[in-house]
Amino acid sequence: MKTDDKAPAGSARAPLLELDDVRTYFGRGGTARRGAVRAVDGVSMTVSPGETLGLVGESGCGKTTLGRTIMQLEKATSGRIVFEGRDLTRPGRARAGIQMVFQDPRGSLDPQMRIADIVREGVPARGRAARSARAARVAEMVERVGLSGEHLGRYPHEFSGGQLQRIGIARALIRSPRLLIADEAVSALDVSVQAQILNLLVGLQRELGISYIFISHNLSVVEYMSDRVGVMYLGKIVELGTAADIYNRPLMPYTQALLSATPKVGDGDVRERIVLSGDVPSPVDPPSGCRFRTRCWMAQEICAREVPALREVQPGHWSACHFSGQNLKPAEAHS
Amino acid sequence: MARSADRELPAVGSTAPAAAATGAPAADFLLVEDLRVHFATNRGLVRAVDGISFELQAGGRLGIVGESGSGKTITAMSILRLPNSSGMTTSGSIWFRGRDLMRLGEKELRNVRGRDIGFIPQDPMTTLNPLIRVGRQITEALHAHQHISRAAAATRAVELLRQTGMPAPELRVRDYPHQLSGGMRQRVLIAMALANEPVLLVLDEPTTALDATVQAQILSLIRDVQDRTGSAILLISHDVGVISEMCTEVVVMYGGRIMERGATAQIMRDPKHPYTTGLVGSVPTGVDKGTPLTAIPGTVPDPSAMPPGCPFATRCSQVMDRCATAPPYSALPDGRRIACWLYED
Repeated sequence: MKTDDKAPAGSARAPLLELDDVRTYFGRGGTARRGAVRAVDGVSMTVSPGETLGLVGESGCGKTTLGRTIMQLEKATSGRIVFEGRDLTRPGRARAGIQMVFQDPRGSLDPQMRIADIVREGVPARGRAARSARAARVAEMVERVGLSGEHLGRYPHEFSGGQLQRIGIARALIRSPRLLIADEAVSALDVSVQAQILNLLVGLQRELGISYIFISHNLSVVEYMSDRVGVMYLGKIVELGTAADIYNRPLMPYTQALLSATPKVGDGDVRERIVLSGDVPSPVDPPSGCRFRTRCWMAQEICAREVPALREVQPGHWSACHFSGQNLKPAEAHS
Repeated sequence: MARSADRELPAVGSTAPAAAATGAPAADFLLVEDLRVHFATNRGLVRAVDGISFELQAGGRLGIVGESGSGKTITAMSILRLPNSSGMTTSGSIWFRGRDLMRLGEKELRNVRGRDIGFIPQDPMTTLNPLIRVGRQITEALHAHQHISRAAAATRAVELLRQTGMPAPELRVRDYPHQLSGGMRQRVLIAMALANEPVLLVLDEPTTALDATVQAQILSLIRDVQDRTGSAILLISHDVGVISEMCTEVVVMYGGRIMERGATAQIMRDPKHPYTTGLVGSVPTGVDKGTPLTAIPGTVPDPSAMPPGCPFATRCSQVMDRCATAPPYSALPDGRRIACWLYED
């Protein structure tokens, strides 16, 4: 994919993380041959220190695979992932400094380990003094996420989903990451508990100055959490910009449809809505040209022929649409 | 059937303002009265639904919103009458067009379920039979309640699928459920639920498993169906956005009880019960990142250990001594009903 030389950047500061044309294919040896699932297919972006980058999209858009690729849980098929100046895709490079919080806390915490052991795991401590310092740090971290010292000796089954997610956050933060990837971290929680965890994440970021990649299918949660937002569709980022740009002035038709699709509190019952026809096509055999063209009300002949580049249409606002920048309103598509 | 038809309609204490204005009995269509569903478990008695009452007018749109453990799904299932499980006790009445569903025999009930009341569940994958083509699953629903030839049923199945917006329905009827996407499977279930032109559609989290753009398709389909058939809908959801958009009336449940009920627009704009306030304030739509969300502290108590009075007392910021006894339901001047001591003088 061609971009305008540099990857879409958030600010003038040196980025913490820089992705350059990252691809992650599955099956058939992970090559670009036919039949491979192109889960992530040419993503370039940056994350600045202290920033939250939100990634939204529907199932199969590649947002989770992108997070896992950055975390080195999946091997990138090609492209570069540069974190604090080091290319993580080169052999032997560790991912120290990046941690992840997963969607299902019950599935991602070992049920046979006590909370203290779960949080402490992976933090080296040699000698008695180091071990007692580590124990103190575990207790401090558990309190920081809103639990108490009495919880340390308990097992995961004794906790609710929200509390387990707090433990998952403590486990991630004890290793002092500069980047935390939250993959649908609040999606399995009830809305009242979800709000607690969002408040916790915002507070921790203010305190620690770490960066977040916040992955979710929930648009309003991503808007609340993010400084910038990337919208993904079938393995590609199709629009990227500040949260205000994306939510108030979306350029790409897919983003407009996605925003329009989300029911909002207090909207009442009559509202204009763009209803897309059909489902997301298979990432094994994505449409030629623009991948969204099969569901797009704007699609023209050029959309089938040429892959639209992610272009900087306005300063800091990138869009991958042949018609970005032209005044495209969903022409009374549906109501 | 005659037995229950003889039964007189109960006196209605909680008449909705609209019904009162027309003078029609509020219980004409669906009236749930003091419904209780309790389960004896080895951890203690679980009061999954604990004395709830509400009504729904013919053609109306009522939502039940709540978090996990609120009892909203058990309430929906009760209207179709839950299969008896060991340790389950039920009481109260569910008056549906003059008959108490709680007291109908299994055979009479079968005539109501699937014919007068259509049900659309959350998870189409576990509801559809994976070994039977979807077309036949729809014709089975037709044959269950109508004398109709096989050819006519097959034609009708295609037509029903077409009405749900299914692309190429004449081909899709030959597919097995696994060959369809989640949105298409949900369309099959909607086609089945509509097969016998029900007057009430009960929808339990009908779009929760779907992506945003597909959810938008299904919600707009449900609205079209309602416009066309005039059937009433009872929609269960955890998503205040979906309820807000689809339902004119809402029941807010917590811990097996109703906290607040009334007109959706009013309750969403100006929630009165501390739980509703917390629930609506937890949704981050339109909130700046700098502003903390009005989260509700703590988590839903274990269902066998619900506090004896108001179930929300353990998490409520305005809890008082009185909350140890259950508050009565009282009507506020704007017509909503609320169970909270803050509104009792």
